[in-house]
Amino acid sequence: MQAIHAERTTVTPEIRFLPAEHRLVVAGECYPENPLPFFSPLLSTLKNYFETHKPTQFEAQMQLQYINSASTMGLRSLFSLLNDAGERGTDIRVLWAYDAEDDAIEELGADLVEDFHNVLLEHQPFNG
Amino acid sequence: MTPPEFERFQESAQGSGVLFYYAGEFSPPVIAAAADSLKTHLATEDASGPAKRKLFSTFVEMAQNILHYAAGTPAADGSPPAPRGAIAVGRGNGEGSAGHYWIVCSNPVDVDYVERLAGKLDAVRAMSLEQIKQSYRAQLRNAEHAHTDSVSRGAGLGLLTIARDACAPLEYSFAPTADPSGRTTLFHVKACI
Repeated sequence: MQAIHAERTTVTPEIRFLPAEHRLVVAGECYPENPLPFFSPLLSTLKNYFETHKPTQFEAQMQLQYINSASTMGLRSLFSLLNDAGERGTDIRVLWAYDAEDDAIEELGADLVEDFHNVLLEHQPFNG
Repeated sequence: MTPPEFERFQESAQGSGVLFYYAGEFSPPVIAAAADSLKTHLATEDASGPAKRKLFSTFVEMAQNILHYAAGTPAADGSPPAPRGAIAVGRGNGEGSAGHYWIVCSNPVDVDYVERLAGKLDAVRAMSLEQIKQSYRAQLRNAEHAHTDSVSRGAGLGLLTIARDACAPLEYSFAPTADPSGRTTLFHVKACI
């Protein structure tokens, strides 16, 4: 399985998908005008990975400073995909890091996992 | 515009507390450059981290709304119209607004959407912060909506995001445009942060 490493741009975060370590890292700001070209390749790679590898555990480290409303839909799809994998037996952990002052990102984490009972979200506030 | 007229224009902008103003064509590179410029400017402003984040978020949502919804006249060769609009950010200096930032945008919209837009704005204006958050969560869960509603891509999440970060109900108005066909009207939205 091919790893993904996408550098951070002005409007999209850094992405590192490390299938050998069963880990995904997302860090930066995300506000593309059209989120589809950014999210679609990542979502299809992850879907394929979960279906073929059926990992016993998977960890997503997310550290977003800012995200636009259009991209929150993409994130919701990402969480939905993680939840499906969780339902099929993968132990899913999401480390949700955010500036301790920033209640919008803190609340977004909780909103994104709402109804997704197979995703364990761990809040990681930090002092920016 | 003569140099003295430009001077008065600048004085007027300064008097209104304008920090940033752009009017013209909206495209993804223009928005990215404008957002970056605003961010650089905000770094020097004496405001809390969350206030700056809210201001930046509102700016991006408003600018991207203009990009998606501004009505225009198709070019002579039939290619789609370039979205045009205006956006300004400033610091309140009047009674009651000192210490707050304001952000206002305008763009032409099709007259057929006026009722729908006014209805959405009125609904959000009537909500408490808790209701705005609840509605945001419901829209996020209902992501399929984005594919079934061709008029409102993004399910109104942008409007709720703007309303959630505002310190007062959003203000809006419609004004006549110079469009001779009468098919468009100028839509303004203002948020206070």
